[in-house]
Amino acid sequence: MSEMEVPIPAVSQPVLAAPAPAASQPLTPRRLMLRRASRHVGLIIGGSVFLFVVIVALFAPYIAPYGPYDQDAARRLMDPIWSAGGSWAHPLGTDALGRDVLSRMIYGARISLYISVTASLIAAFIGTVIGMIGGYYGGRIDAVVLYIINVKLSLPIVLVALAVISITASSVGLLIAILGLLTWDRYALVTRSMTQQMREREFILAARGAGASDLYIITRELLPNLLDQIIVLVTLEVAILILVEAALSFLGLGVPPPTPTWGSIISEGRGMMFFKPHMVMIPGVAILILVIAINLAGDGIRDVTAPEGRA
Amino acid sequence: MRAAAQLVGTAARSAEAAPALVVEGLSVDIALPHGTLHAVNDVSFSVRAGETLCIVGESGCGKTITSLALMHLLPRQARRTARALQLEGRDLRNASEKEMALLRGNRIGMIFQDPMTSLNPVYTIGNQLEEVYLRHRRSSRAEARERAEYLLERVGISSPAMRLAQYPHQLSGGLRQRMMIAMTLMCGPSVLIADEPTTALDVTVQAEILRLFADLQSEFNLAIILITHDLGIVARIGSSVAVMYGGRVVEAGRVADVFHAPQHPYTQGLLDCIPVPGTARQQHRLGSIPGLVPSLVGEQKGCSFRNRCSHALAECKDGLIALRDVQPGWGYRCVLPPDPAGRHGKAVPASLVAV
Repeated sequence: MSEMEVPIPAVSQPVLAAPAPAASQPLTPRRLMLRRASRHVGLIIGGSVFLFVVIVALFAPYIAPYGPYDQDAARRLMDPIWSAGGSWAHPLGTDALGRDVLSRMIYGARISLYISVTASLIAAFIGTVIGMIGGYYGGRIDAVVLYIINVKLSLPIVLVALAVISITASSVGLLIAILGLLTWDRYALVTRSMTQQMREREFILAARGAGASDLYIITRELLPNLLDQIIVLVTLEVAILILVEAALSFLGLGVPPPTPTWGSIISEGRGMMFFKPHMVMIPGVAILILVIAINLAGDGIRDVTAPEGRA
Repeated sequence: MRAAAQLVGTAARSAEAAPALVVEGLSVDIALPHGTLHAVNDVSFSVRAGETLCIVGESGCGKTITSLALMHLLPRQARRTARALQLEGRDLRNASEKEMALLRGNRIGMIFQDPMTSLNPVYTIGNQLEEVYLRHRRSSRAEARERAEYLLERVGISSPAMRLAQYPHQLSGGLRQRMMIAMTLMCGPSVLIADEPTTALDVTVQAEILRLFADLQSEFNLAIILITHDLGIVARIGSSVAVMYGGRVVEAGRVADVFHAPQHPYTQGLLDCIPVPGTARQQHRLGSIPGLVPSLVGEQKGCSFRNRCSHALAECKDGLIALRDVQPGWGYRCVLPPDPAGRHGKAVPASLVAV
């Protein structure tokens, strides 16, 4: 007669453990979600790393030991702390202009995250709107949407960015706009096909049967069902955009110097790569760790928020 | 009951007699690449408050399309025509999408076959019930919640407050169907369309849901249109029945009349397919109707059942078979004359069958 099905992760619970006091109270969905989140190792690790980078980026002026542009001509190309010539004054060493690498990394996280997160959100918005409209209405509207998506898919991001930036001067705002306008295709494809599937589900018919309008169905019935997929996609795209931004900065097409981004730090260290490998390695490893962390967190969010409780 | 009604004045009687839903000459054509599919053809019926009309027929006979046509929820390629289509006296034939949206879920509600998929998985039950109410009423959420709790109790759900906070996946099929029923009742509609509401449920739950329908009908004075292929359900809760075949109503009348002496060979065939416990002998095969449902694409001429009918005559082939009245409110669409004994055992010799 037990109609209520409480997803208990039985395996992770000790057999002899007394029933948790929470079990006697009704488990609210939110509490269940938090409980699942607190047991999701990937989410905890990825989320904390990502959160750490975000906090560091937010409080850069208070954390960074030096300003990102402060030069110390006497201490150029210093080794990091783990090398023989390292000193605590510059834990990650200094670059060719005598700027503190740690400080530049901290300030660089700001720009890198700002660009990739903002551009991803813009892209998510554009792609979701286009994809859901095409998927929901179908027919001719969908044909137009598909055409737009195909046009977009045929544009190579880096080449278009290169063309645009070579005409106008590069700036953070322009970079965000370009990346946002060029990376919405994945959201459009995913939301379009999911909307198509979901549109045939009976609860959409039931909603229409209960008097809901198209706008209500798209925004209130369909969108929440797609949200966890979109969130996962955003995290994946943030990770990709961090790489794209780094690539553009590496090519000298990104944020104009001296503003530090992780990509431009690699770019600046490129010349010294063979005798000062840490100049490339430090930002490279940082990008790697951040991208992995974001992906872990994204997967974790999906596992935890899915109402079916895949965890 | 009838005597009581006669005692009340004529005005009251006519008010009571006004059907909640009137359908006359409803047709639905669906444009396909290779022709027009006449999914529903000249279907007429009416339902009064407190009555249950059962629409029966096999898959593809147009039952569901009929109900969707009433709700204005047909697929885009479908075209609906009707001589009359009235909900509580309101003409729905030319109602705009906006006007229909105001009526759907408000004056006319629909319950679907599969309760497992007809609730949105990301919202709590309470949220979904309240949304329907808030959409059609100027009211506070607290008021909507109160209404939801009341209705959940009415549809036989214990501890409604706890259930309202749950998500659909936490409920069983039977409970979800009760939720759906409560949801359609939120705004107190006059007409309830139930499209095979018990098909996806197991037998014991089916019986409970049917009983619930009967209880709610008298309490909320509902006109119910129940779409089913289960004649057992019809016998149980139907007051009148419309048998559909090939997009047409082939026989319609009071359930007692139609079941006692079915006039259309198809109705008889359906009744013969019901196994009766205790009567089946060994080696005795269950009844079945040979043949397949005809294609509804292209022009429809003659009786669409003639290829499967053991009574078929030459005249079944052409023209439109008119609806004949056995008595007022009981008609059938067949060339055979009315037979008070029904069609059973009256197979026409093979020599006369011209197919």
